[in-house]
Amino acid sequence: MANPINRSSYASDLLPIVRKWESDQLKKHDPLTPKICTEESSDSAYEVYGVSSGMGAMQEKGEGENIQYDSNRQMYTPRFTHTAYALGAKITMEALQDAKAMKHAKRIGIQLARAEYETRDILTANLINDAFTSGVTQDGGDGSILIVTTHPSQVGNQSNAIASNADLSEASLETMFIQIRKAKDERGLRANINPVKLVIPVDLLPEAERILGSDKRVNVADNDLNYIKDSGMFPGGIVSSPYFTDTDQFVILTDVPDGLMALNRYSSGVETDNVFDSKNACFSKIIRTSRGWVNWRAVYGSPGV
Amino acid sequence: MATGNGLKLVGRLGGGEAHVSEYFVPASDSTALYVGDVVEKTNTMDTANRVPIITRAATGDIILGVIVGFRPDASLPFTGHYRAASTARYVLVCDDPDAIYEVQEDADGGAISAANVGESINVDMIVGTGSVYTGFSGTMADSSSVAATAEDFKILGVVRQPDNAAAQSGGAKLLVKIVAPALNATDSDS
Repeated sequence: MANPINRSSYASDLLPIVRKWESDQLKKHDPLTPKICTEESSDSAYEVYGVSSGMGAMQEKGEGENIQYDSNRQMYTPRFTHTAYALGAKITMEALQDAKAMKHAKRIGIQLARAEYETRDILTANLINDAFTSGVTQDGGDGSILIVTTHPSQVGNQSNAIASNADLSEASLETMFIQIRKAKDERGLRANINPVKLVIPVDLLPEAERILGSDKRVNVADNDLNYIKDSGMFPGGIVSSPYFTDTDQFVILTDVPDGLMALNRYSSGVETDNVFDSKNACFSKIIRTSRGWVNWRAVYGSPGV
Repeated sequence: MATGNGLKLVGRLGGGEAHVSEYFVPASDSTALYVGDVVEKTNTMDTANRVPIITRAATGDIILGVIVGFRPDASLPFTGHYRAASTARYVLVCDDPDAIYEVQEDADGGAISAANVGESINVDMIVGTGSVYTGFSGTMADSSSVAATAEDFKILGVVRQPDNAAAQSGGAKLLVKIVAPALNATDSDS
């Protein structure tokens, strides 16, 4: 239990000696979640998605022959159970009355909003941060971590990991591009997916800009065109975030729908109340949300070397 | 090595709907069951619902048929697409003696030849564990068992998809029927 904010918490505020309190200003936030996740609202304790087995290719039929019937059915069912995240603060009646900055309690609202943004971005970034982490699987999913060579399917294990771990480079991006274009669905039909965004930590941003932005191939003496730029391999551009913790890991988001998911069940405004006995003012903010993935083909990646 | 998904009901000699019946697997059966698993009778029945009890068949057994589904169970909303080990479930089995199934050959030790497909010949199954994620059996046709004396499946042909052929690398998807299905068998034992 944290102490209520009292007059000694901001003793200098009792006299007119402080011009402005740092951290009061909420820098315009650029949320990470909509850049890499499909965001959906939820009105239930949990949400369930289903993965279907799909159907195979058509079969040649001779004259008078019966049609061969195919079928499809439920396979695994990724599930998203929302977690509540909350934070609050209390201000004593005396502090609220005497400290001029506290009179409006504006600072509390701003800082709670920043806490919410930070929480949401960490949750989203952890999808990428844990993409190669053993044991971090999707509840109800295929039993595998997000990026791995052994996603089970009806045609054997499938991979969304680069075949040989590599650092970000023109060659590694081209390797993964080919892998993405050759991807198959649960039944072995061509998935026909395309890369959309390159997702990297800020550590790789300069190199990524060079690889994607050069008119000619980077780091070679040849005068060849830069295929990655020329073909528009990443129409969604680069997503870079300080929340990505691995300095050499990079992933590619594809155009597969329902890949990385962010489900929002509830988000309160800044709620206020007063404690009758102490007259302390209480401020709080609550969100209920969940993160995960449905279709792993939305993400291909390399952990770096 | 190919990946097996068990046997898939695709048709019936003579056309029409293949016969499907409900059977029971008691909780005492510790073998998990998946769609596409080949099953046999056990000489016992579920007296509560008056249906025979079955279990997963091994090669050489008198085959009853192939699992095509399970009776829904409200207590298993996420795992009801297969039957977990030691769980009582009612199972839908295609027990039609004339049923035609698609099955992947394992291509272990070489693929079944075009000549094999063209002759009247049989093949045994190689029972594989299914997947709780896909819900499908892991059973395949054992390529190295092709012989007139094999007891499990008769090869009818290969699936006529443009990317499928006899003797192809990785093995073909075969069309088979059960050689001596239980409903036609003279042997009264399972």
